[in-house]
Amino acid sequence: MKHAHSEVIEQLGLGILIIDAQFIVRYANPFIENNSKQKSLAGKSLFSLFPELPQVWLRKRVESVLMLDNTTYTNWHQRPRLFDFPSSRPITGSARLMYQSCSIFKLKSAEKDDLVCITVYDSTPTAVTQQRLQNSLKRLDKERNYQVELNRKLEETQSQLVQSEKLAGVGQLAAGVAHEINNPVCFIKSNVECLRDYIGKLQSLIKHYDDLLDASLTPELKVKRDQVRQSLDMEYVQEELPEILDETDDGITRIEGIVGSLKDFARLDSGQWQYADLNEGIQSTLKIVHHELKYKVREVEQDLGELPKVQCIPAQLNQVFLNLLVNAAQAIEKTGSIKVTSCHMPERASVVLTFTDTGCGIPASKLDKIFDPFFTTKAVGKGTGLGLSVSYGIIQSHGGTISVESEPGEGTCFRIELPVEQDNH
Amino acid sequence: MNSPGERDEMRQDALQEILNISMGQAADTLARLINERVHLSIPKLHTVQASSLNAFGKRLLRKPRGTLTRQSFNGLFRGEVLVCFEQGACHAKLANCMGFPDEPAGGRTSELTLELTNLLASACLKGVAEQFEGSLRFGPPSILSTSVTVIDYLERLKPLWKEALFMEISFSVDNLEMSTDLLICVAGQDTDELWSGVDRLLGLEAT
Repeated sequence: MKHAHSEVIEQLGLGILIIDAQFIVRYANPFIENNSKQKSLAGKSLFSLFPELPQVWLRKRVESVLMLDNTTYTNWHQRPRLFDFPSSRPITGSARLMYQSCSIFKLKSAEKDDLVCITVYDSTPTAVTQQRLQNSLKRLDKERNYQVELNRKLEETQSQLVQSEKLAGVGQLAAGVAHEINNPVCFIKSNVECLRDYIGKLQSLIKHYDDLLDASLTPELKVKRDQVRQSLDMEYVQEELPEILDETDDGITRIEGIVGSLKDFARLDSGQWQYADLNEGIQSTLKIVHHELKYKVREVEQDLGELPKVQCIPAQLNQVFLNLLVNAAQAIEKTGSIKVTSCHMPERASVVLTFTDTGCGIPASKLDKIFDPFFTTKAVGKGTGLGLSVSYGIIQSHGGTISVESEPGEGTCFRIELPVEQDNH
Repeated sequence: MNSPGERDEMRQDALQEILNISMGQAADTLARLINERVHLSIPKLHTVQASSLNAFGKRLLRKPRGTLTRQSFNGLFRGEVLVCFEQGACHAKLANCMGFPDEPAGGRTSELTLELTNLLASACLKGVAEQFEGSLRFGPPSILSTSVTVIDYLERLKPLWKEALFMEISFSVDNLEMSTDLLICVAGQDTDELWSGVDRLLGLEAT
């Protein structure tokens, strides 16, 4: 059996190294010899054979093992190895050296000095598997974080969509209201025209009567007539009537303008690709946002050049103009101005629109993020809900580009370039 | 002849005495190893029902929260040692005493924690085994959690045991801000071997 024991130790896939209290090797099995590529280790100093060993630490461990008569362990996880043995997976492994889990324990000996046994277990396969698992876990964790981020973005998009739908709803309502207002305005306008005609006729009738009465009335009756005229303030009434009618006409024209702008803006009947004058779109949008701009914007300078009709979905582009104008107004802290320009670039078969404000500007660190589909500096639900991301999406769907230049404290300029013709529509 | 009640009391007293002696020896050994004055409390014995861990929690002298480690042992009797290293304790200061080059970081902190577990478990149980004239073998220690109390951890498990014997010991080192609690745990089904060892010492084997 003794022979069998030695045979087992020789064949074991486990390193066995026996040292004495002076750290002289007494025995090393073939596992140790083969991996260290050294023969006849017995009788040599452990630390000269294996200079990589942490001497102070190992001496302390051996001391505690001898004192407590216990076993102490090292695990590849915390201490990858004690001995610089080559990896047992030179082809399929990813590390050059072997991962080891070791144990150190006292051997009771018949000799005067106690002996210490160090076993070396090759943990490379476990380590490789565990590291793969760790990598998979890291990847899964990364993917999970990505999913969480996606979900967050999805929620934000949903929220933006809800806002966008609300705005579309408001647009629809506005167009509906505009249509309903348009009918009474039409007959008010027509009636005012009639009124003007009838009042003119009544005034010439009065004048005719006056002429006749002047020739036929007695002085007493003339005085009486003048008294009646004065008591009714007829002179003032006759003077005021045309002015009142002019002002009414003016009011009606303004109502017609607003109604027209609302309809133009919503373009509910024309969510289709069509050729449209973008200058008209800008102007109708300016009318819509007038109320939003009037408190902060001293002046909206318009430098609109002659543009060809551009193939587009006008309602969508109007939403972009609205968004840029409202953003511009919001960027102005107290008072400032906005400049809108348009020009045709025949050589590029495109039109270029710019929206410049004298607002607070955008810091350089945020400039490259403002078109990020989910970047916002405002609370969700604030503003129009159609963020720059939506504008970006609309311009992209028109085959155009939108870019920004900004100087903090000076202002911001958005530049849109749109092709005159679409390739696919 | 003693009544079963009296016999249980004698056994408990004897075990308590065995543990007291063992802790004295352990403190001495540990002090020599780490070159610092070491204190080990008088062990407190708890018979614990798995169904009333909460009540056990209340009886514990301390309930530190921190890194919880474990180490199994067998031989004379079998069980597990649980060690709770209180959070923020400066175990790293022990690093030099234990032959680590500097204050260990990362994986080395875990290695130090595990080695401390091994030292404490071996030191505390060495005297017990010697008094029983037997031997104990220890498996490698491992970390269970890094921020937990023993009771929290046990409550999360569905224990295989219904009743167990827990021996509670506190460990502290002079000049180091650290205190560590150690529980030597023997499940109910494994206490027979322990008590028969005690009986041998008491000369109660025949009863």
